[in-house]
Amino acid sequence: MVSVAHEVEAVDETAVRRRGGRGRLGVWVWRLAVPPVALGIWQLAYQLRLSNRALLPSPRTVWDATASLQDSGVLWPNLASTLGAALVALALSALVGTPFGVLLGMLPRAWEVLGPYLNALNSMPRIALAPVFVVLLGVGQSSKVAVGFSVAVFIFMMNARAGVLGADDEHRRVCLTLGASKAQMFWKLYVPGALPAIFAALRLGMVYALLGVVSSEILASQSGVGQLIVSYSATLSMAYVYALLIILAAFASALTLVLGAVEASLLGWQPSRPR
Amino acid sequence: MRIEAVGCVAAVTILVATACSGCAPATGSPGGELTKVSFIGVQEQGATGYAAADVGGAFAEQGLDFAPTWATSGSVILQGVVGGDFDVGNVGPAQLYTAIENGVCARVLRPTEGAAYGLIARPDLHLDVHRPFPDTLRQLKGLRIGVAARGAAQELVVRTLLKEAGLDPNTDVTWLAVGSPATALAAFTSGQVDVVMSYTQLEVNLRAAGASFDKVLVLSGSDTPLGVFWQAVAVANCAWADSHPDTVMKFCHALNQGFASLANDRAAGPKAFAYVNIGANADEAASLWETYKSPVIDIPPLTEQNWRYQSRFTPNNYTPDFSRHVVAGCATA
Repeated sequence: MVSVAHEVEAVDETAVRRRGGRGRLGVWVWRLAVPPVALGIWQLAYQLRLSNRALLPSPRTVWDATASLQDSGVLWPNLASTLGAALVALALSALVGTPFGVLLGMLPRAWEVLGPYLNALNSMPRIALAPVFVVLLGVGQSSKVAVGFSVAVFIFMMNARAGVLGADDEHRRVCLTLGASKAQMFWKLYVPGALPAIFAALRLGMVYALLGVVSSEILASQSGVGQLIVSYSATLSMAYVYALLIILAAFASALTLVLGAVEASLLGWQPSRPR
Repeated sequence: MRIEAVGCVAAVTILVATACSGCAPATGSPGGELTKVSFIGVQEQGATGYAAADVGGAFAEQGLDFAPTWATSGSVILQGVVGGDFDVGNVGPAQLYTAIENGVCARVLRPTEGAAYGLIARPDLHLDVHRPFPDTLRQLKGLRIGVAARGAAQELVVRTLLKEAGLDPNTDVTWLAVGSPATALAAFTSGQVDVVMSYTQLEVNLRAAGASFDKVLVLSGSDTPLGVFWQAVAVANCAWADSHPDTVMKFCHALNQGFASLANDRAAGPKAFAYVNIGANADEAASLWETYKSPVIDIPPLTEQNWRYQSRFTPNNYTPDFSRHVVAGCATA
């Protein structure tokens, strides 16, 4: 009887895995179908002249602009500058925001005092501070890293705090019963408990850090995709602007996918993982 | 029943009268309501002709209400005119030609300013200001150049000159947007940029602030490396220009009157300078007018040859079709 039950369980697991595999494949098929469909709609809109052609060039024109950006040699140094600044801003935000957020989760009184101020700071349009950062740090990489950091750090802080608050009460009681110190609670209970939320912050923070960096570049910068976008916008060279936006979105998406894969491999022990 | 019917007729009459009050003809009539012409430009020397026409009452004489909005760069102006928010704008031809090449529709009325630029450097750089063009520009290698806005007319012009001097504008210099005269002054004096594309308003502001500068290259007048260059042209939104030809010609006539007064009436120039904030008071405006009047007095005429010449400053040497993009008869209206 027991062996029959085991066999039934094994068959169920195999079926679920197979269904899961087919489901993942289906998702990828649909995912890959989105760009051609979007391109088709775009081309149709262009053919039907649904918008001014200066503002909505054809996909082919944008492709030619992408090739021209690549051939002229301006693309990669500027893209590297933007992505480099965004990654530095992301790393700094994680390093500062995560421990601070975990501490705020561990110390409810501190959150009660600081929470309203942190929320107020978070609601400020950080791009308004960009000129201050430019004056303080110059027009190089530092000022745009600062803008990216000022946006992304709050995401880590809030997510890490939420992760701590979501820690299992039973685990907390066991730790306290076994006499765990504050440091042990921090490293052994709260940080691992907050990891899923921290990874979610990494993916979200990547996007926001990039937005902060590009916004800063649009205002003032020596290099970067934001400066290229402003330059091409000045003469309404929209094919170049769209080419740059698509390249930027593709890189941001690829980075987010990589972070998702890292998250899935590190947090495989969790019952259900976002993909 | 009868009272209700009378009330109904009265209500309909009031409604029709109210609706028709907005159906007045688009062109203004003498003594009647003025036709509004919305304008966008930078409040500096390039707008002097418009200012003279407004101060001298030329627009009002034509039944026009000239409504200016001041922007900080040609990019904003171009977007405002192309987007239809403004009827007329004042923009650099290099930027306009490139936008037309990209599919934008625009109608050029007339040139409004000849060459009035210059390249100025911080004195502590000790650049040799006596070197002739193009040799003098080779000193700019490795320096940070400030322009009003990235990709706008100023940058396009300096890029062309740097290429003629044998430099690569993409790699040999660093470009920085410094914005309006006030922010450009701050960027220059605080050392954020080494060299800046100067123009009358900026030089006046720098002198007023007691800041010194070295003029590396004079680009004012038609005997400079820029030649028969138009620093700005009056450009109209296509939809507006094509649907209001009478208003356009009235606007052209008034604008031409403004330029004529600058050339013939000694008092008109200083008043126009004061209108665009060049000079803190009437006396200073009069003194500055004597120094800086030539770019708005000696403007290379609107000919097909001069029209083609402007393409030298565009990235692809593109010349838009003259007959399609220039409003015939405007420059002489």
